Amino acid sequence: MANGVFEWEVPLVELEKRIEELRRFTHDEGIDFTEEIATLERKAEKLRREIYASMTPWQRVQMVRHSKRPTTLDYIGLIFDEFIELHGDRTFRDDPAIVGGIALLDGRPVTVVGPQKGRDTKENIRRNFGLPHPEGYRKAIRLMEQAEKFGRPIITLIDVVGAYPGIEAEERGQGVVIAESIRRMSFLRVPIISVITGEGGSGGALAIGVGNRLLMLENAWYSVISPEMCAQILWRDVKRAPEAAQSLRLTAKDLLELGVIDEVIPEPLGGAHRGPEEVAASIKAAILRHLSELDRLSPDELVEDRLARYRRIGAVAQASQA
Amino acid sequence: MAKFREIFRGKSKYVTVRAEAEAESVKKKQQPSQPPKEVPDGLWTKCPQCGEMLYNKDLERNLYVCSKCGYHFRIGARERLAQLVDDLDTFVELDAGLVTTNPLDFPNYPEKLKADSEKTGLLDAVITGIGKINGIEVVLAVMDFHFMGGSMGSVVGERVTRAFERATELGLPVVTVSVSGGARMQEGIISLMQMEKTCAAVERHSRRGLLYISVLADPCMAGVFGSFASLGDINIAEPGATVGFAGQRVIEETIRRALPPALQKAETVFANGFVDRIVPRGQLKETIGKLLLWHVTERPLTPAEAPPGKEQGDAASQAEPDAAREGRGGKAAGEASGTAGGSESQGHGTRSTARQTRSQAKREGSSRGAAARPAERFVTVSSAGGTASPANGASRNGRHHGDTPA
Ligand SMILES: [Zn+2]
Repeated sequence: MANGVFEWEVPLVELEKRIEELRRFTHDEGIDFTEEIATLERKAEKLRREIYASMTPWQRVQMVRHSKRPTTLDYIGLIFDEFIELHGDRTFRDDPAIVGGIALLDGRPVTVVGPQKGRDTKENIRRNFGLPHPEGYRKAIRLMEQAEKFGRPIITLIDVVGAYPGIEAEERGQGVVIAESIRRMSFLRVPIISVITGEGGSGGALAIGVGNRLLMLENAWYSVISPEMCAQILWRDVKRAPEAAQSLRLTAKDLLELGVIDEVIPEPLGGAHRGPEEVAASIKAAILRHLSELDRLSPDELVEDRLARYRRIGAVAQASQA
Repeated sequence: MAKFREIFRGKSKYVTVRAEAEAESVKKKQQPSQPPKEVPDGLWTKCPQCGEMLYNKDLERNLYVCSKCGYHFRIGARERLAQLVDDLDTFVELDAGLVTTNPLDFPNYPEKLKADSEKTGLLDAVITGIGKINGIEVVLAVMDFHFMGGSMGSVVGERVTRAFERATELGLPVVTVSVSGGARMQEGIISLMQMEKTCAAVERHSRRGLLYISVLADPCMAGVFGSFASLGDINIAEPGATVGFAGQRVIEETIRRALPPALQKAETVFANGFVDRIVPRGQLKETIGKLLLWHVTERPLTPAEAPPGKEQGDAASQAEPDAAREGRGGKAAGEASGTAGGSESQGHGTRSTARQTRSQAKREGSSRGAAARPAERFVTVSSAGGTASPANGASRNGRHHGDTPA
C-alpha cells in the first residue's frame, strides 16, 4: 500500500486521477471534455463495483487496517450525543489501549467500551497499538459491572488485533483476566450489543464481545487467530496469509452464514474511511433497532438470551455407526 | 481408533450413568493403553531434563515422573484418568461419540483428525465422564495433548460444557485436567465461541455452590487457559508445566527479544498469584481427594470438630515461590512441593474432623482464622498463603481468585 492506496485499487485511482485532470483541463483551458469525462466516469463506476464487490477476505483484512479507518473514539464521537470517558482499573493503572465511559445515545445513558488504536504513530505508541494489557480488560469489566448496577445498556465497539502478547501482560494474568471477563460479561443483567468495527482478534476481542447481539461492519474480520499467525503455524509461511484468511472464514458474510453474528452493517464502496459519518449513522441505527428489541426483555431473560445465543454454537455430530 | 469407536458407536447423547450395560470399564475397552508419546517403546527412557536412563516399568509405576529429578513426562488422558480415579471399571464416559463436522470445511482437517484418532484411539482431545476419587463421585474432563495438541474445537467445547451441565444437574463437583495449546485453528470462530460456552457452564455450576478444581498440566495455553482452565475455585498446576496466554514465539516477535525462560512456568504463574498450588503428580490424587472431601460432606460439625487454621500459610507453600523466583524450574518445584507432601500426609489424621459443610468452612475460615491447632496439619488452599508471612496468614485470599491481579 502506498499513500493510503491498496494495489488492487490502483487502476481505479488512476482512472479517477485522469477524470480529475480532464476536469481541470476543461476548467483551465476552456476545452470541452464533458463527453470523455462522462465515459470515464461510467467506466470508473463499473470498475469500482468490480473491485470492491469481489474483494477477497485478505483484502478486507488489509482494508480494516487502513491508517485512515475510523477508530473507536471516532465512532463514539459520531454515534453518541456526548461521552464522558472514565479511566483506570482501580488496581494497577489506566490502560490507554481500551477506552470506556458513559455516553448518551439519543439522550439515553449507556456504557461504551472498546479498544482504541492510535490515529498516528505517537498515539499508537501511547496506546500500545490498541493491544490491551490485563488492566485494560479489568477496566472494561469494572465499567460493565457499573453499567449493570445502574441498569444501563452496554455497547462494545471492537477493533483489536488481540490481547497484548508481552511479558508484563503474562505476569499480570492475561489469560485469567480474559476468562474472568468472558464469565462475568456472560451473566450481566443488562442489554449488551457488541459491534466489530475492524479487527476481531481472538480472545482479546471475545473478552469484551459477549453480547446479546453481535454486529459486524462489512469489511471487518473476527477469528480465533489472525491470518498471518495461522499461516505461520500451519505452513510456517506468513506469505500464505491470504490463503489462511480464506480458510478461516473470518469475514462478516461468513460469520453471518455460520450463525455467529446477527447482522452485517454495510460500508461505503472502498471502506469505512471513505465515509465515516455514513458508517456511524448505520451503526447507530442498528444499535437503536436491536436495543429496542432487547429493552423488552427482563434482566433474567437478557442473561438467558445471551447464554442461549452462545450455547448453540458448535459443530458436533454423533460418530457414524460404521 | 477403530477400537474406541466400535465400543461407543450408536450411543445416545448421554451415556446413562451407571447403567449396567456401561459397567464395562474404559480401561478394558481401551486396552492396551498406549504409552505416552514422550515415553518411547522399549525398556528404557532417557529423562529429557536430567538425562537419567529410566526403566519404563519404574517410570510407569512412578506416574511418569523422573525418579531422579522430578521431571513430569506428558501423559495421555487415559493414563491421567487411571492415576486419578479409584477404579476405571466404574468410570462412565459421557458424550463419547461426539465428533466434529468440520464447520469451515478447513483444508486437510479431516485427514488430521483421522490421523490423530488412529494415533491416540480418541475421537477428540478430551475424555469426560463420571468417576470416583477417594470414594467421592465427581465429573471429570481430562484433555489429551496428543490429539491435535489438545486443542479446543466444537467437540472439546461441547463435552466440557456438557460435563459441567451434568455436574450441575447431579450436584457433583468437577475436576478438569487441562493440557492444551489453546483453541483449535481449524474450526476458526466456532472454536473461539467454545471459550464462552465453557466459561458460562463453569459459572452456572459455580452458582449452584458446587466445587470446581482445575488442574493445569503441561502445557495449558491460550484459549483453554483463557477460559475454563483459569476459573477453578481451586487451580492446581503440575510442577514445570508451561502455563500462559500468548505463545512464546508470538511474544518474542512482538517484543523483539527472548522470553525470560521461567516466565510461563507453573512456578512463576504460581508466584504471580494465578494458581493456588503446585502439586507434584504423586500427590495430586491425594490433594484433590482431600479437597473434595472437605467440600462435599453433608454432616455439619460442632465447632470443636471443625478444623482451625485452614487459611493459614504453611511452610511448604512458602518454599514454592522461592523456587520459582530463582528460576529453577521443575526440579526445584518438585523438591519444594515434596515438602508440601510431608505436611499433607500428616493431615490424614484430621480427615474425620474435617467434615463440614461448605458454608461452615467459609464461616470457620473467616471467623476463627488461625486458631488452636498446628497449622501444618492442614492443606492451605491459598495462593497468597504462599507469599504472605505467617503472621498475617489468616487472610482469606483463596476465595478471591481472579478478582485481583498479581
Ligand atoms: Zn530426570
